[in-house]
Amino acid sequence: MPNVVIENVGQPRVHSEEMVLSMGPHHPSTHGVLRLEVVTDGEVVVSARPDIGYLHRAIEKIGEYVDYRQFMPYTDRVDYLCSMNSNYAYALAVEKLGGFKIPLRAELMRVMVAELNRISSHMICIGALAMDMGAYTPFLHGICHREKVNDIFEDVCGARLTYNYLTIGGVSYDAPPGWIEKCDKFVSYLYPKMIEFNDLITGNTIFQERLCNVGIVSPEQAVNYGLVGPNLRGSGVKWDVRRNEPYSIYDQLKFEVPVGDGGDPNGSNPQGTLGDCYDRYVVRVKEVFESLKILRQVVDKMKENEKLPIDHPDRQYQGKLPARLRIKKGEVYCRSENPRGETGYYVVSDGTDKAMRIKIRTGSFSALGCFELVTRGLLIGDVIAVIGSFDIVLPEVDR
Amino acid sequence: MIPLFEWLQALCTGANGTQCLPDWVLMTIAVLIPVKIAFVLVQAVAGGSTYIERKVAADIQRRVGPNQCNPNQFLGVFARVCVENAKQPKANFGAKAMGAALGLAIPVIDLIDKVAGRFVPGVLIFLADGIKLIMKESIVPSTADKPLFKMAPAIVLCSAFGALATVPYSSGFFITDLNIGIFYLAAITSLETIGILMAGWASNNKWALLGGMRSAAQIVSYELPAGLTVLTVILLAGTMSMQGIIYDQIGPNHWSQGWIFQWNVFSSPFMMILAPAYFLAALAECNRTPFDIPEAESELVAGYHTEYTGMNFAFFFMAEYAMMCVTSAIAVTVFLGGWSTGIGPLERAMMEANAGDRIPGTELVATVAFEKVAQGDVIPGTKNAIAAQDIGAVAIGDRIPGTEQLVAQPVYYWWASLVHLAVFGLKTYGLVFIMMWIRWTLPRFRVDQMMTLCWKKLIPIGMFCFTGIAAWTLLRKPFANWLGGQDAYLSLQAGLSIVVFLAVTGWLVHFFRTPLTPEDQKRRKLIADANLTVGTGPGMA
Repeated sequence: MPNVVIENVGQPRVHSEEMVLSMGPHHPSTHGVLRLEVVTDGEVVVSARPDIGYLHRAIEKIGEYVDYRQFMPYTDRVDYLCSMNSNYAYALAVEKLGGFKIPLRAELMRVMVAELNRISSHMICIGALAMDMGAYTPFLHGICHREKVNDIFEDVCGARLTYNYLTIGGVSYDAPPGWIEKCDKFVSYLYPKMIEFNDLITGNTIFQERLCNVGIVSPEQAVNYGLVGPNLRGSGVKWDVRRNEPYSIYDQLKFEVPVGDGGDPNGSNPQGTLGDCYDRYVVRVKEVFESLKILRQVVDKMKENEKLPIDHPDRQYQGKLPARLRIKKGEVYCRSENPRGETGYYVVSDGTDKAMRIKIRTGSFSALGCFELVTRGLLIGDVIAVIGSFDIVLPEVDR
Repeated sequence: MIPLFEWLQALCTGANGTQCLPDWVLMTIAVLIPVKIAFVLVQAVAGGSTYIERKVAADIQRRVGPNQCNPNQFLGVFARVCVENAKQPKANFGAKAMGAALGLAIPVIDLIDKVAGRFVPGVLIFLADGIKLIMKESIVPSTADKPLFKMAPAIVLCSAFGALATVPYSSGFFITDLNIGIFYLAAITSLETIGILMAGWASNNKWALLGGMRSAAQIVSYELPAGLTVLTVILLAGTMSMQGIIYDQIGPNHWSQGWIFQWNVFSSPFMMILAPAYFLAALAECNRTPFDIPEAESELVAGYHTEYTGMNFAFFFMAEYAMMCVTSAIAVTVFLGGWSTGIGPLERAMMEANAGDRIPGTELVATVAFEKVAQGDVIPGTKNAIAAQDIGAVAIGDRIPGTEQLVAQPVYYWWASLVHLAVFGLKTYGLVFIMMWIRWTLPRFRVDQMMTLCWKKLIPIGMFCFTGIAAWTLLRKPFANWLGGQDAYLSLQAGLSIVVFLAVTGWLVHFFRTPLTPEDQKRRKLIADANLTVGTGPGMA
């Protein structure tokens, strides 16, 4: 073990005998099969090195053996907490490479399910973070809200976890009758429930004390380590692919990009530091509200769309694509904003119906990159807080 | 224990004064009966508490909770199988008799099931849990220190079990009332630390070791604020006996006797601060959220009992629930008037004899005829003076009127004991409920925050209040004399208590009925700053 200088201001070292703790892969709060090799000095963490690869399924390699449409179910498994967003990122990449046009209704449906899935994914994240901090109830409240989203998804595609709903050129099924009203009702249901959730845990003093000033990532570090999504925005960097490089119809929608405001006396985290765990948490809570805002707008657009004649090109849920996709030679890197940050699909085509190479860039992987830096000098309990606040999903890390 | 022994002695003594059983046999019986009661209590308390905990958790988390383990699923199924067996052609006499007997019992079981399913659905889940845990293998890790590993759960259970001995369940029913009762409780409950540390060390598991070390640090630290609080109560009551502390809160024969505001918690503003401080320390000593740091399931897997399975684990589990009840019982005893109902007239109605009453037949016997004494002389052996009407009326060997011994503590009718048992149970389970409520609402502290709370906040507060109460205890006698007598002093004290009581209840009502402050509303809005009016859907709440 090389001598490690503790850079972050954390707990003072006791300089006793160092102990190597193998945290995971079956530890209850490593959010999957992550193994952390934690060197501790008493309870103080000297270093925590993530050990990944327990869930490697060679999904990228499989992409070279199945055709473009057949790869869609595999993208579900890249990030099972937000399968819709994973589908979306891949569909965007292939459509950009092939130059396919998508009808308006399909775009609306896609944005709708993507935002719903963002909400359900964030429900797991903020609930699980609270559970890691010892509060079990918020997690079950989050799960309860997530079930409502799952019901909506079940209505539209029949699945509750891995949806395989988006296809290249559109979506698999049209919205069933009454589905849009159901989404509208869900928005009205969740808004007060989220206020209740905030009363239950977000404003809790113990919860804030546990998360404030813990696991600080400065804006420079966040950019240098390639953090994305809520983790990046938690450090105060205002970057959102939906806003900075809008895809689909996001440029027509009104929404804010919430960023962390730790240390700001008028902000939501006055006693913390910019980029601490609480900032990352609050950014996610705020994003749920922004997603609700987007949903409400898309619902209105959908209702307008319903008034079009049934054979209108804007009312189709799938574009007209050949039965066998042969995409001209070329390569594309396309990114979309997922609950765990921007997900990039790099797809190389050699002119056949299969991709020559698929590479996926995910948010959780880069978050694990700066894990060792962030956890130095923290206590064991704080390591859990850092894992939870980075919202790591292991299949996304290992793929 | 001793009354039981004397009762057994009286039972075994024949008309001729000989005992049919020797003393040592009776003593053994007198010891074993309370032990058995305590043992059953531990199980009943742990079982009942787990059921309540599950239901409370389910309610807070919008779930249904246990609703399947009703009497029919245990006894009903068994009875029906027996009845079916009795119908078999090859059924022997035993099976037939059993089938007939249980066939009669089926309507009764159905009725119980109906009632239980209505009011306490799934109440037998603790039986199912117990059966499951008994059937499971108790694994001892091959690298564990086997004797210590097996001893640890027993020690932890013993500490909870021993603590039940001095809990004052009721005015008449208690196992024993030691004159150092509360001191004994503090000592025996801290024995738990040894068991936990032993479990953590013997498991030969790093998580268990961390849990054990955390637990030792935590319980030893929180003994101090808890001890300080209890010391304060001992100062007030002047006794360490649990019953004595309760009698002190019922008070002497005065208009304020037995009222709710006589309870220690309302007796002064200091106690009002100390009571929540004690409750926090009690939470920490039971390893309950927000102080469940030793077993923090998200950090240390399961803490000190990571390696335990089956009944060995169940011992820790039972000890935790018994400990919750014991600490709640201590809190009820020292702060909330123990088994006292808190309604003055009711308490008096239940008394056979009040404190300060004279006990007939205990008068002193005159050694001199009262012809030879003058009025105002002191009666030998007492502080009383000889009354005018007694002169000439008392001969040698007569009992002197007015020299009866006084009743030190109120004496209750036997049935009052049952009322008090119910009251004590309700109060204790009220506190246990609050513990559960806290557990399912709050996150847990970090290790350093837990230590900060203890050493930098609770102990200074405890010291401050202790000093305040000590000064008050020192000054109250001169103050009472200056006021002009015990009655005036007691009335003043009662008045002060009423003020504190009203302030507390007023604050509680205010707390639960006040809307959010502007700052809270602002913060709420900051986090939930989504202007959803961009759409045209149904209105927001």
